[in-house]
Amino acid sequence: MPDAAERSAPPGRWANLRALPSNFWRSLMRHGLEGTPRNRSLVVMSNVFLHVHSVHTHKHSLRWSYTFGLGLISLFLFAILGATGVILMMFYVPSTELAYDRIRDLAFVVTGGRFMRNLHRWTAHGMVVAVLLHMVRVFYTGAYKPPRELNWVVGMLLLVLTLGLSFTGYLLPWDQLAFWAITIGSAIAGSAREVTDALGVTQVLDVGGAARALLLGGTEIGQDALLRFYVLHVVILPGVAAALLAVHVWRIRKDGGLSRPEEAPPAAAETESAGATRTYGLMALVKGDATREDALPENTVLSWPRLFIVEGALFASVLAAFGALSLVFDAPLKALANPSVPENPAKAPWYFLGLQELVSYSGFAGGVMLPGIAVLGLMLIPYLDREPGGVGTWLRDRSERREVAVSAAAAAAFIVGVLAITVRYGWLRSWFPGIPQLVITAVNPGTAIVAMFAAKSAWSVHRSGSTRLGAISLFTMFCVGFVILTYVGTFLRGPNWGFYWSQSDWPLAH
Amino acid sequence: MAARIWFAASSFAVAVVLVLAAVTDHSSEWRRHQERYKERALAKEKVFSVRDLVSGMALNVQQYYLAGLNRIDRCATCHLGLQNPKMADEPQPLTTHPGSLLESHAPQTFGCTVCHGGQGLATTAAAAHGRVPNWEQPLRQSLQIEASCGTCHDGGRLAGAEHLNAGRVLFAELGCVGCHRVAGRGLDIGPDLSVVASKDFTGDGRIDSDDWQWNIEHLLDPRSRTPTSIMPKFGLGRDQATALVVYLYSLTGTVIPSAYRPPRRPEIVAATRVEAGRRVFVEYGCGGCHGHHGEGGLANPNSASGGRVPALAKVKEGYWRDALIKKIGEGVRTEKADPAGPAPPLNMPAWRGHISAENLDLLVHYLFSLAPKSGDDDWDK
Repeated sequence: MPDAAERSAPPGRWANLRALPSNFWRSLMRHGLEGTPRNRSLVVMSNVFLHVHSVHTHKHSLRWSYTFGLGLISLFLFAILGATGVILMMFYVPSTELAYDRIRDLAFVVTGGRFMRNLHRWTAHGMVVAVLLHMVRVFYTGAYKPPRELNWVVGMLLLVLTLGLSFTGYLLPWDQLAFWAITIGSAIAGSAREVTDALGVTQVLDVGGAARALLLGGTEIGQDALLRFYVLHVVILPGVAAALLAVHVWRIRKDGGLSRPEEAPPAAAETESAGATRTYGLMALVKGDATREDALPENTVLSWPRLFIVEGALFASVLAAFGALSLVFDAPLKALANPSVPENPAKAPWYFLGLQELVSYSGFAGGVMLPGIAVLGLMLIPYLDREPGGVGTWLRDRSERREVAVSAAAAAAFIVGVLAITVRYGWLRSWFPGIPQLVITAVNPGTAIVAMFAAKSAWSVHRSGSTRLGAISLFTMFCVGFVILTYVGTFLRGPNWGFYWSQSDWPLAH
Repeated sequence: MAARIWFAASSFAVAVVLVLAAVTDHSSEWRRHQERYKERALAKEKVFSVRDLVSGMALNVQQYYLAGLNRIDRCATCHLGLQNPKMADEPQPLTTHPGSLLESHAPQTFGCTVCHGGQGLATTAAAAHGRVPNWEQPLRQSLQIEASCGTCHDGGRLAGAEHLNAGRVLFAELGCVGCHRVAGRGLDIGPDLSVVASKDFTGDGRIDSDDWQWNIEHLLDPRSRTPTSIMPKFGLGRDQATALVVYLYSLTGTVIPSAYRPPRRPEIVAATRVEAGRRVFVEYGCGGCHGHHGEGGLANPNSASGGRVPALAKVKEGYWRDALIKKIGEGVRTEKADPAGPAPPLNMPAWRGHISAENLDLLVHYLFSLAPKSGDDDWDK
C-alpha cells in the first residue's frame, strides 16, 4: 500500500501518460528477457499458456527419435482446424438448398476462401494420420504403462472423436461424395437390424433403426441429417474433444511429463511422488535468487526458451507444410448430392475403407461389433498388460522386435489368405445359399481375422508368459490389419464392391 | 542454435505460403478481363462523363441475383461488355451479346445460364463454361441454345425458333405421348421424357454434344444405341431427328416461375367434329403405332394382325360406334401369330380414363371418316 504522502504528491501531470507504454509493457511481459535461471523459470510459471509446461524439461523428452513430435503435431492440427473451421462457419449454411452453393462460393468469390477450405480439408486428413501414428508411438514405447493408463484411455477416446469429427465434416458440402458416404455410414448405424431381424425381434426392439434415426433425425438423409451432422461437427464433437484434450495434456504433467526409461534418474521436480517437493521447490525459486544452472535436476534443461522455440518451429513447419499443400491441391467437390444417382462404388473416407471392407461381409459385424471390439481391446491394453519396465524405449529387446516381425508376417499372411479365398471363391453364402444370416454375422472374413488376432496373441502370452509380448502381438496385428484392409478398400474395390486390380479395369458405366 | 534457425526458417515459410495464397487469390483471370475492358472502353468512349465512369470503375465480381429462378449468374464478371453496343467488334469475352434478344430478356431479370447452361456461380472460364469434372451442364452450343427457348415457351409456335417449332409439331404428330409421358401427359410404355434434357445418356458425367448426338442417332434408329429398345424406327430424316432433339432438349425439368412464363395462346377450336377428332388422334399419340393418318404398318413381330399394327381405315366396317369406343377404352392384348414364338412387343393400351368420353366420341368420328368414301355416306357432317 502506498502511503498517504505518495498519493497526495503526484510526480507530474503527464507522468502517467509518459510511463504508460513502459508500464503496459512491464505488466504484459513482467519478467523481461534476462537469461538467469530464476527469470527463465518465472517466465514459464507466470504465463497461463506456458505454464502448461514444466519449468524443467527432461532431455529425453526433447529427443526427436522418441516422439517425432506426433502428439504436438496432432494438437497443432486441431488448433488449425479450429481456426479455419470458425472462418468457414461464417460462410457455410447447413441447408440442403444452400450448402453446395456456399462451398462453391468459397472457391469462386470469397477472398481466401479456397485456401481456407483446402487447409481445413487437408489438416483434417493430416490429423487422422498424426493421431494414428501418435498412438503407434505411444504403444511401442510402452508409454501407456502406469501411471499413464488413464491417459491412454483418454487418447483412445480422442482418436474416436477425431474420426467422428472428420466423418461429420464429410457430409457438410452436400455433394455426391458426401451424400453416399453418409448413406454407408447411416446404414452401418442401422446394421443392428441384421441381428434383430435374424432373431425376429425388430418389431419390439429396433436398436439399429433407432440408432439410424438418432443419427439422421429421420428415416432419410436430408435436411435434418445435414443439420444434425453440422451441430455435431461444429459444437458437440469439438467441445468434447477440446475438453478431453485439456485432460490429456494436464495428465501428461500430472503423470510426470513424457514417459522415459526408468534407468535415467527422474527429474526431482517431475516425478509424481515428488509432487509436494516440487511445489516447495518452486516457491523457493520464486523468493530466492541463488538458483544456479548446476542446481538443475539431473538430465533436465530449463524449458524457456529451448522447448518453446522447438514447439514454435514445429507449429510453423506444420502450418507451412499444410499451407503449401493447400496452395497446390484443391479439396474435392463432386456434383450436387442426388439421391437418385448412386455413386458406384460409393466409398466412405479413406480411414473408414478398412471398415467398409469388413462391412461388405456383414454390416453388423464389420460396422459395429468388430470396431467396438477393436476400440475396447485397445483401451484395455494398459489394464491387461501390467508388466513393469520397458517404458521409454522403442521395443526394448530382441524378443519384442521379433514379436513385431512374427505377428506382422502372420497377420499379413492370414488376412491376404482370407481375402484371396473370399475374392476367388466367395464365402459361406456362396456355398450354402440357405444359411441363416446370424451365422454369417458370426462367421465371416472379418470375425475370422479378429479371432486369429486373439488366438495368436493369446498363444504369445502362453508361450512367453509375457503380457507385454501378447499386447505387442495384438497391437501389431491390428496395425497390419488396418493398413491392408484400408489398402484393399481404397485401391482394389470397384463398382458393386467388386475386386479389381486397378481402376482401369472397372467396367464402364452404361 | 539449430532450433532457432529452424524456427526462423519455418516462420519464413509460413509467411511465404500466406503471401502466395494472397497473390494467387488476387491474380484471378477475371481481373485481367476487366482491366482489358476498361482499356478498350476508354479507347472507344469520347464522352468525358462516361470516360470518368469507366476509369473509376472498380474491379469486382459482377453477378445477376435471380431470386425467381433460384440462381446467381456471374457471367458478366468476364463478359463485361455484353450490353455495351460499342464492344460489338471486340473478341470474347468482352464482346456484345449478338441479336436483339436481350431487349426482351434483360440479363438482370433472366440471367444467362437459363438459356446458355454452364455454371453461373463460377468465376473462371473453365468452371463457368462447365468444362470441369463434376459439373453436369456445360455451356450449350448453337441449336442447344434454341432448345432452351422451349423451356419457357412451352406451347404454340415461337417466331425465330424454327427447329424447336418443327420438333414440337413432329413430337405431336409422331404420337410420342402414346408411349412416353411428358409433364404428366402420356403413357408409361417408354421412359418418361419430362426431364429428358437433364439425363446423361453417354454416362460421362456430363450432358454435352455427345449426348445431343446420341439422341439424334437414337431417334434415327433406336436399336443402334439401345439394342433392347422396343421403340419403333420412325424412318425420320436427319433434319427431323435434329428438330425433335431440339424440342426434347427444352424438357429440362427446370421449374419456371409464372412471372417468367410467356402468355398462353388460346386453344384452336376445330371447325368440324372430324377435324376435332383428328386433333384427339394427334393429341393422344395414336399415330405413334397406327400411322400418322391411321394407315397402320408399324412392325409388331409375331402379331396375329400380320406382324404389323393394324390400319384403322376399315374400323367403320367392323364396329358399331359403341363397340369401338369400348374397344379403345379397354385396349387390345395382341394375339400371337405363332403360339410358340415370342410375344409381340406392342399391345394397345387401355385408354379409358385417359381420354374423356367426349373426346372418344370425336375420335370415333375421325376414325369413321377414314373409311374409303362410297358416295352418300356423310351423315356426320
